[in-house]
Amino acid sequence: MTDREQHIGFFGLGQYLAGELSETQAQRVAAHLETCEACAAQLAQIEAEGAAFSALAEKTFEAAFEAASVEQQPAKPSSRARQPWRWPSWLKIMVPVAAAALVAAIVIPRLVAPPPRNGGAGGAGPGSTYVAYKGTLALQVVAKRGERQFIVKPAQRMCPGDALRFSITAAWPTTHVLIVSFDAADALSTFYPNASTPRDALSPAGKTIALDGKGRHVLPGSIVLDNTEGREVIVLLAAPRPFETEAPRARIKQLLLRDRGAAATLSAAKLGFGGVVRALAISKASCK
Amino acid sequence: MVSTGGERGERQRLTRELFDKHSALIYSKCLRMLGNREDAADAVQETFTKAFRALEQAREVESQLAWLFRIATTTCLNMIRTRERKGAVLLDEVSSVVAHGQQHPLDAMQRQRVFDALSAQCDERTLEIFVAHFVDGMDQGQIAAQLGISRRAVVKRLTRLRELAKAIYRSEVGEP
Repeated sequence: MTDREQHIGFFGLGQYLAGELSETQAQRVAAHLETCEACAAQLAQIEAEGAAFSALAEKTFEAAFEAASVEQQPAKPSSRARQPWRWPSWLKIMVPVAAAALVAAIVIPRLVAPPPRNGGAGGAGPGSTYVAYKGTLALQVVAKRGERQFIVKPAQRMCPGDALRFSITAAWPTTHVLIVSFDAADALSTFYPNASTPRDALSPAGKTIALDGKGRHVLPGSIVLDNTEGREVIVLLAAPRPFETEAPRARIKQLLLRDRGAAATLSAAKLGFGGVVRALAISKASCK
Repeated sequence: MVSTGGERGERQRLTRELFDKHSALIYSKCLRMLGNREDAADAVQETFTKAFRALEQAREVESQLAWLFRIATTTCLNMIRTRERKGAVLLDEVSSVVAHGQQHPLDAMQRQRVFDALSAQCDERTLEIFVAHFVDGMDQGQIAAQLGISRRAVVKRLTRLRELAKAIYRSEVGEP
């Protein structure tokens, strides 16, 4: 006999508590719980954890509801007429990055996501691990090291001199993007937009890049990594409309100064930001 | 498209109902995967954000809990991938599967590396099956129903996963 066959299992207990079992199945579980200490203990633990969560429940519901609502609002069309961009070869327009200001590597976790299928904001996500907001935004970062090109993955070690190119597949009519990086010296640098960003690619207030149209956009230029070694946190903010960047930037810095390990928990709610937030910690070390 | 007040009210009612019924369990599940309360609460928020955005699916699925479990799984896997989570319960589960029947226990760093390797070499669905089986305690039939695939596909992927886990383990501890 195996425990797994005999016991109800966490999911089965969950269905029992949620009332998803038939009457016969529920009776079987109830009978089992009367004689099985292990399952009864697990059920008690689930209930205790649920009780502990009740203090956070209302806040969590409101944050989730708000985030879901914000992302479902259709974006207003931009008042500025823009021509479709045609970026020159990324190799030709590498953006030199000041050593002190710029940080290491980058990557955003949902890189390998497939592009949005229907352009809608729905389709939450089973099967979309890399795309938390499937159908709304997918980001891919490609690195070039010498002659070799590769997709940058989460936690990947990067080398000084690696050049990174960002592409975003968007499902909003217009997607406004800010990408910043927080380095080991506690400096918050802006990757995008930067000095090489064409003016007509900027959002009206000039604080973010505006990507017009659904589909795939390659951000202009590339970021060449300097030789600063250590852990870096790259943060992407995106929204279907222009946004104010000073407050979220300050908040990012504040949170990461307090806890660098908090990279993955920089949620929109924590930043007070009505859009998509993605963060990733990566490390950069000399490659010899 | 502008939603009417009635539609918005209905949407609010449905989201509230879904959340009230399942959020505590989803929290418990996320806690099992992530190993700490703060991360688990964040994962719950993200899970329901996705679920609220796909509310129509919630009405159609056979088991709302299985549907939410799947969203939570992908959310938690992503959180584990994107930061150091050596304390994550999932890593212990990985370790126990990988080291099953082997002599050398894995330390925290090795568990992290083993998970990274497994994560890199498995497709997304295989990882989902791993979590459903070893963390959520779902049987093959439940997993097949959750993912909309055959039992045979579940068995095949679990077999492949165990073989891969053994190879990664051998590589990690340097055994031939």
